[in-house]
Order: sequence, then C-alpha cells, then structure tokens
Amino acid sequence: MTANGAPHRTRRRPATRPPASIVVLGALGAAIVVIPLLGLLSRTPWGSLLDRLRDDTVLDALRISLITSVAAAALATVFGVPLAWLLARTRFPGRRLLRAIVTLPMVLPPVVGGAALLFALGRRSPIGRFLDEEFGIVLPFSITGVIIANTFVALPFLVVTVEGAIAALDGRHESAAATLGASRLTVFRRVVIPMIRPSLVAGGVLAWARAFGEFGATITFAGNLPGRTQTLPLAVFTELDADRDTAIAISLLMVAVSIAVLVALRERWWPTDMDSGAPRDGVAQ
Amino acid sequence: MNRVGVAAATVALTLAMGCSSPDDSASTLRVFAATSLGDLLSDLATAFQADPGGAVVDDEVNVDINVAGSSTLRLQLNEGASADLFAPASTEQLQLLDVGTVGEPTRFATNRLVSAHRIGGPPIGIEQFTDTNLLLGACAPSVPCGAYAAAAFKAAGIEPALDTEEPDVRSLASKVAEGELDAGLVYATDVLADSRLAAVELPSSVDVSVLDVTYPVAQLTDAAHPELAAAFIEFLTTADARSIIIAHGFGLP
Repeated sequence: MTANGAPHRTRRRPATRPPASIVVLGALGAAIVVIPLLGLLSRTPWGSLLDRLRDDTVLDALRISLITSVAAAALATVFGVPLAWLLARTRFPGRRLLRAIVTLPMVLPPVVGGAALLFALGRRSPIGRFLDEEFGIVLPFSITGVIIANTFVALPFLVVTVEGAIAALDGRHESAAATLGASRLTVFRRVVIPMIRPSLVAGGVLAWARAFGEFGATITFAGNLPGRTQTLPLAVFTELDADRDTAIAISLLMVAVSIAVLVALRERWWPTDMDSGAPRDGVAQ
Repeated sequence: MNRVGVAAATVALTLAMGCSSPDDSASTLRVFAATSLGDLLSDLATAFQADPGGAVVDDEVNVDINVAGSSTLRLQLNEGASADLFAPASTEQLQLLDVGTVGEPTRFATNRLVSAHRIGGPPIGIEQFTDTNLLLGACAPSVPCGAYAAAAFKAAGIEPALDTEEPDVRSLASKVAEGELDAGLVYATDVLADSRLAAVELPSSVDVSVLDVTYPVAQLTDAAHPELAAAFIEFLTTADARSIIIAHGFGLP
C-alpha cells in the first residue's frame, strides 16, 4: 500500500517515502471502510441476486428511494442556495446563530430529527392540524413525509457547501455587474450561480447522497409501509430480520447506485487533479 | 514519542478500554429480550439480583438486558453475539435460531394482542382496520407482534388498510399514544404501560388457538455463565417472579 511508483501518475509530488507510522494508520483508516464492505460481499447470494432484486418490494423501495432522494436534493437546492447566499452575503442579527441551527441536522441523530418533524408537522401540531382540517393533508405516513424528512437531513449539506463557495467569491465580479446596470437578482442568477457551479453540483450530490441513505428521520416521521413510504434503507432494515439474503441484495443495490453516481460525477465532485493545477470543472469523464 | 505515536497509543488504549467491558466479570448475566419484555425483565432482574437463589456466586450479581425486536436479537445471536439467555416474543424466533440452546425452553409469561387507541379518541376495533380514512398501524411481519397481527387479521377475515408497519411494538405504541395513528395492534401490556392509551379487545374469533402470545426463555449453548442462567430461569417460575409478571399485566402460561 505504498503511494509511490504507480506509472500512470503524473502528479508533481515530491517522491519521498512516507513515514511508516503514517502508512500504518492510513491503512487502518482504509480498513475501517473496506472490511465491512468485504463482509457484505462475502455473504452475498450471487446466484439468486437478480431474482431477489426483481421482487416487487425491492422495486417499489427503489422507486420510492429515487423519487424521494431526487426530490429532496431538488428542494434543498431551490431553498438552500438562496439561504446560503443570505448567510454568506448579508448581515443581519442572529445570522451566526441561524447558520449554526441550519447545520444542526448534520450532527443531530436522524431519529431526533424525525421526532422533531412529528412534533412540528404531525396531526396534533398547529401546522399539522391546519393542513389536515383545511386541505385534508396528513404529512406523516405519506411519500411527502419521506421527502420532507429527506430534505431536513440533506439541506445543510448543500447550504454549507454553497455558502463556502459564495463566501470565497471575489466580490468585484458582482460589483462590476451591478455597475453595468444588472439588477441584484440578475447578479445572483447570471454571475454568482455560474461562478459557484462546481460547488453547487458537489453540494447537490452530497445532499442527494444523504437523502438516498436516510433512515432514522424517515422511519420516525413517515413510518414504514412497502409501496408507499418504504425506501431502500427501510427495506434493508425490515428484510434483515425476515430474509437476510434479500437484505444483502438490497444493500449491494444501494452500494452500486451510490458508486455509479459518484463515478458519473467524479470530475465535478472529487478534485482528482487538485495539485496539477487543471481546472476542476473540466470535461466530464 | 512523536505525535503520531501518541495518536496511535491513544487509539490502541481506546480500543482496549472498549473491549474490556464489565460484562466479562464472572457474575454478569446477559439476557437478550424482546422489546415488549423490557420493563418486566428489568424488574425481574432487580428482584433476582437481591436474591439470586441457589446460584453459586462470590460477588454481586448483575443482569444486563439487551432489548430489541426479537428478530433483530435472533440475527445478532446468529452472527455471533454472546449472551446467556434469549427471551423472544414467540417460539418461532427460537426455532429460527442457528446457535444451540440448552434443553427445552421455559414458557414464563403470556400476553395478548389488542387494538390500541389514544384515550379521548374514538375506540377502534380490529374490524375497522379496513377503513382507509383512519391512520392505522401494525408491526412489520418480520417481528413477532407483526406476525401475530397478520394472524389476527387472517382469523378475523380482514384485509387491513395499514399506513405503517413499525419495526418494533414500542415505536408503534408511541405513535398511537402521540395521536399520529388512530389505532394500532399492540400487546395489552403496552397499553397498560402508557397512561395515554386505551384498548379494544380482539373479537372472540381471534382466540388463543390462532394467537398464542407466549414468551419462552432459553439458555444458549455457549452461555458464559450457565449456572447463573439456569438459576435465573428457575427464578422465573417462583411465586415472587410470578407476582411481578402479573403486576406488569402479563399472564402465566
């Protein structure tokens, strides 16, 4: 596991031998992630894998997972980018407190988030009662509830990523556009957004990934019903008790979907050529 | 020692501390118990600790109770978790165990399924579980309370319109108690344990012949403390234990 000598590497990095202690700790760090994945692969029922994934419960869960995670990433973008801009570019009392609160779902146990959503939007809350009585809408135990739970946990990942990018922007471009007569909204749309595009994509992928793997807030707020609110992680949890091989098959499906997305977006998301000076937002693939 | 060395030593020490938990002591009995048994078993454990009966022990007896859905516990045991006793909410979960048990399991308590609703709300019987205008819940079929619920629906000839299948009976009971669900099929003891809940009994067609909710307890073959485990099982059939079981709303087999 030494880092030197790979012929395809073109990075201009000093070719020193890394200290042994760092190699050992780094290898252990990799093992923490790799060993559980090997455990999953070692128990995989390869022969019956496709049949297990063709099961209606699994296909329903895949459909619900894709719909809700994409919807949550979209909502996080629509509301998160303006929020990130406000946090980065404006000064108002309580801004730092608001930023801390917005990032809270990143560290909060998801089940706490789900309980909080239930208390805020459940049928017995003022908002939930209003929605129920006026429109007949009950958010818990619905696919909308899954999307709300996913958005709650995913939003901070987008806000934090995009806010950092906006704060790092050279304000002179915005000033120049404003001097040339662009309205403040036009500056935001035509100057800020294009300049932060790589971070926007990265934040969107992070938010999607967080939503795709969401479990605790979803099961607490939206319940678990196959075909309606059961996402892939919930299906894994339920099947782990009932049919372990199917649970493993679903887990592998999630690993595959996650890897596919990370690979498809690797040029944008992962700064592979950070130290060679090539543009991060280069040609995809 | 350089900084990396200090970091490595810290990691090693943390791991070592994590591995040497107090469970390794000679007198700690480890029980894996169904969610619905949680409160009862902790009271039984307290009584057992005060008077461990014939168990040969030098120092104080501890009882560690790992409470989760029976099927989750069964999975953990099958994957090598170490425990002395397994008390699931159905004999089926004992039969699905891959690891060995000692002798015949002891049936020590019974329960029954009821339809729970929030006090102040309308009572909802199992026959109303077809109503799509109500928010209704049961446990997932993979856990015993869900398997019992499925059997109850079948016996009552009902195709239920469920809104959620909860992973364990406590999360179902609390969603009914919070008013998020109009009703859910839970154990009678869950209703007794929560002052916000009331129960509608299942109809007589769903009797013990289709729905025998009995809690078995079995000693695992690789139990670290076999004498203590046997003593605890014996304690469960004493008059002291039986009065605690009844006080929690369970029945006797």
